[in-house]
Amino acid sequence: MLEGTTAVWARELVTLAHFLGAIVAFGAVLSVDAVNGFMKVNPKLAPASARVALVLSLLIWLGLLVLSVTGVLLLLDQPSLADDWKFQAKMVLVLLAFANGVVLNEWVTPRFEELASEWTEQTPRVKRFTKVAGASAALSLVAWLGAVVLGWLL
Amino acid sequence: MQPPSTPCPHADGRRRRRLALLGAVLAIVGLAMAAATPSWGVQDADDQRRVEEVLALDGERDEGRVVFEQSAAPSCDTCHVLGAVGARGRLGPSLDEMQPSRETVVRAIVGGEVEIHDRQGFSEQLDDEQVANLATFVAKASVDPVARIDARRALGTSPWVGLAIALATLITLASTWYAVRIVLEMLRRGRDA
Repeated sequence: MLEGTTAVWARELVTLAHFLGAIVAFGAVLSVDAVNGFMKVNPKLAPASARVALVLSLLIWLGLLVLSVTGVLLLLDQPSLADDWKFQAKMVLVLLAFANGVVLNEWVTPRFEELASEWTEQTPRVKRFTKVAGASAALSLVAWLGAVVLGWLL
Repeated sequence: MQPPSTPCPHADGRRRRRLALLGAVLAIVGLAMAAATPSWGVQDADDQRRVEEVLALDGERDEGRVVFEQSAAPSCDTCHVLGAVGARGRLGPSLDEMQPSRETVVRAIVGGEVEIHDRQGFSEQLDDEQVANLATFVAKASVDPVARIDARRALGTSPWVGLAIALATLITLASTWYAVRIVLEMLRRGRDA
């Protein structure tokens, strides 16, 4: 594909889809963090939070799917974007957010559901898990926020 | 009882003189405003002469790209779309769609008689050679595929493009996999409940 050969309406449509993907995914990331925050205030909410987190993680993956497909289309339309340091920094943050998402899905969420029943007792396992999950959530938030801001600046 | 009023024989004359005075004032103000306003669509003799002088110069495409992206202030890509250099400005008309001729660009900058008016004072800011280079670049880049070859090369040479596409492919596959897994898990839980 040659730079700038795509019809303006098609580029606008893909850009809109990219924005919507970012809104859905980043919104779900913020919601997961908010749910975790509620759970810290009231540990009895842990089982319900685990169920909500599953639905929210589905939204995050669907948002990422839309973001990656539309992102490739936008890049093919304008390859010179790749020379911009903001784009390069954004890619690093996206990789970080993606890797963190895999860790969350493969390790944090299953452990969370496993520990949800003993959450109110705050056992050592739960305390250890809380620290790891907190760090992961913070990393996710920073990576997503950074990617969104850099994407906005591009 | 008052006597009936009789019309003054000089009243009509005075009214006419006042109207004439008002008309003269309005005409003077109008002429002054017209003189002070940039005359879009009208070229004076000096502009026309400069257009001809600029058109007589051989413009350099690569030099014109420098003018388009750097020399003009604000730079042309702030307001215009020109895909060949990734310009995405929205304030002015799209040069890709308009595909202006060299002469159209020169007249737009020097004389302001076409759709892409010079609203930023480029006429004074750029010298004749810069205008000629810019016009040559815009005319070629907006229609000539050769001018876009650099952009096509960039797709093959920048490692970041390949890395970004590889990352996006990985994310697409993983996202699909996780989304399907989560949906199946939710269905399983729904059945169990």
